[in-house]
Amino acid sequence: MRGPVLMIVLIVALAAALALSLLVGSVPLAPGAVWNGLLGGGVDAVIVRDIRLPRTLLGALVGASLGLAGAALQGLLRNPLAEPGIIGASSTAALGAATAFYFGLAGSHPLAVAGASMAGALLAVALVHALAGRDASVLTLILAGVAVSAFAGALTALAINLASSAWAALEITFWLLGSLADRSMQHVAVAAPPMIVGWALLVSCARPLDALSLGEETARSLGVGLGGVRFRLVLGTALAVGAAVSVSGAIGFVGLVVPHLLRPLVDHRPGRLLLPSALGGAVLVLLADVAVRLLSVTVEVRLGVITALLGAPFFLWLVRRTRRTLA
Amino acid sequence: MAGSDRRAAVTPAAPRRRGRGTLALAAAALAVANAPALARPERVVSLHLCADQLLLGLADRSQVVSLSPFATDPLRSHMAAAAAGIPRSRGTAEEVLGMTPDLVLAGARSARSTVATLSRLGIRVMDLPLPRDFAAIRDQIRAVAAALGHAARGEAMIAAMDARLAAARHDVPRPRPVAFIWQPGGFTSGPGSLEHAVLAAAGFDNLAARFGIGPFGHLPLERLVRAVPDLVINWMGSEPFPSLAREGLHHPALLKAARGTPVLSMPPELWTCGAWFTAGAVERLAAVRRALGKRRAAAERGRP
Repeated sequence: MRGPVLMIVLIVALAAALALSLLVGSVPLAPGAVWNGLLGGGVDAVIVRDIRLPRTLLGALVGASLGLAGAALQGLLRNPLAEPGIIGASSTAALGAATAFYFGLAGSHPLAVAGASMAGALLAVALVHALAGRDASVLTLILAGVAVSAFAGALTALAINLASSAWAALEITFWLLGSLADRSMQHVAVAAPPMIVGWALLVSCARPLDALSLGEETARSLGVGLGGVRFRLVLGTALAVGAAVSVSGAIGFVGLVVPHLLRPLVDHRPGRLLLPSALGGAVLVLLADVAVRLLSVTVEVRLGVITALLGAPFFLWLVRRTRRTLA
Repeated sequence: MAGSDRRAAVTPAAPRRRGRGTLALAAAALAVANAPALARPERVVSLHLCADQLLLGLADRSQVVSLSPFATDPLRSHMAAAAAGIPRSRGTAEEVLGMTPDLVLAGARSARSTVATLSRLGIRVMDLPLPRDFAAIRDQIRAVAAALGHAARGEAMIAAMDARLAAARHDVPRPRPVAFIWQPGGFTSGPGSLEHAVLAAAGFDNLAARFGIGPFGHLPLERLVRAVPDLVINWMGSEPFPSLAREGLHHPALLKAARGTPVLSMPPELWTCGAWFTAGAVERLAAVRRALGKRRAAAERGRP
């Protein structure tokens, strides 16, 4: 009965985080005013429906994508340190977006940045997968991710370096910090479809991931086609993370932290970890984005900065613990 | 540009020092050090877009040796046409030394290491920070004009600018209309910025000041939607640089709440640098303020 209870708790937490995200903003609005704004008209309706609602929806979508992709990658690579950011998917997706900014494609088509981000993420996941091989050791995996991230970082820096105007450089830089501020429903419409396709691909791998946790040989003997599973996971991660980065910029560590917190609660079964991680990721990003709004007075503190400030110490702790278990 | 100057005709041509190496440089440095009130510089190099424009506006063309890379870009420089045909350099210390300048004009954003290197080598460098109000613009014009040996041109330039400012200011209503400066990514300029000084000179209050924003800050869309100004100024003007952040101006929330609010595209070359031509930005704004006043008066007459 542990699974259903966990899901109920997470769904309640998500509902609370969604409500909180609608309630908090730079203009103080009473809960009643927010409710009226959702349903009625006037300036409050513009604030609630056109500014806070898209931001809230995107927070949930981006968080769910990152949490789900993190859980799936950790299952696929059978490695607790795997995460869209650590294997380079976030930085290459950001490189894709930066490229679109740099060449002025961003203004040309609403899907240009999303498409470029997803192509970048796809490339990173495929590359790390090829570099690290099937039974990746922790070291190989991290090194492959570091190499891919470093290369993507260098190319992004090159785009900033050669940018045609100071504004283009500033835009790319701020993009890299990650933010959900002042997005519109158009962003939701662009990002949601690829994310949902990505989620479906990832969730469809739940059973094979459970089988894979017993080792590749066992999984094969259970009738799991590993090639197909890998392909679906790589494609799903690229779609979900690429779409997330295309609207929010790079937001790190969510995919690392959330599956870890939840893993003991699902008896360490990677297949069962997927849905709770998606819900948990949504809750975490929504709460981090609420914190952003509370902390930002005259200068916006970027969302990616907050998640990195929370996530990096967690990662250090994880490295310590992993070292102890390996020793 | 700023009137003829006969002294230029009697000043002997600068001796060409190019190619004589450090000895000549050291000699030039000594000459500068020994005679601070030296005759007007004949080989002036500018390292910065804003310095380019003051140099072109105040010096004789024969004094100008080299300008910064953007000097001929009409989207960035008000003096782009005047800069045509003058060499440009990226402004590394090597390049500048090779030009054997007797005065180098550097901007606030010029690489500090370059400026320090040039000074160490004995080259006279004049640092020109970005002026943040018209008093600072006057001081800077005066200082550069004096350094170039054209003090009278500087005074004439200041007088002309002040006349334009006075004309723009003479009919400011009370209460003053409110304007908001939109910069890409939701940023805005508040008190302490040149843009704020331009708004004030044109008879506008700055919305950013009401929210306690400093020279450069972020105004969340929510707040802007609640406090719609009389005028939105698009800082980017209509420059064609690729920029997604500008889509913020087309955010559905802003389009709904600020429907009917006029948007003025300010040509960026008028106020990215502060100089005499910044009066042009003030004039444009003052013209819009008058049009807004007429429109409001007509609306009030139409009301029963």
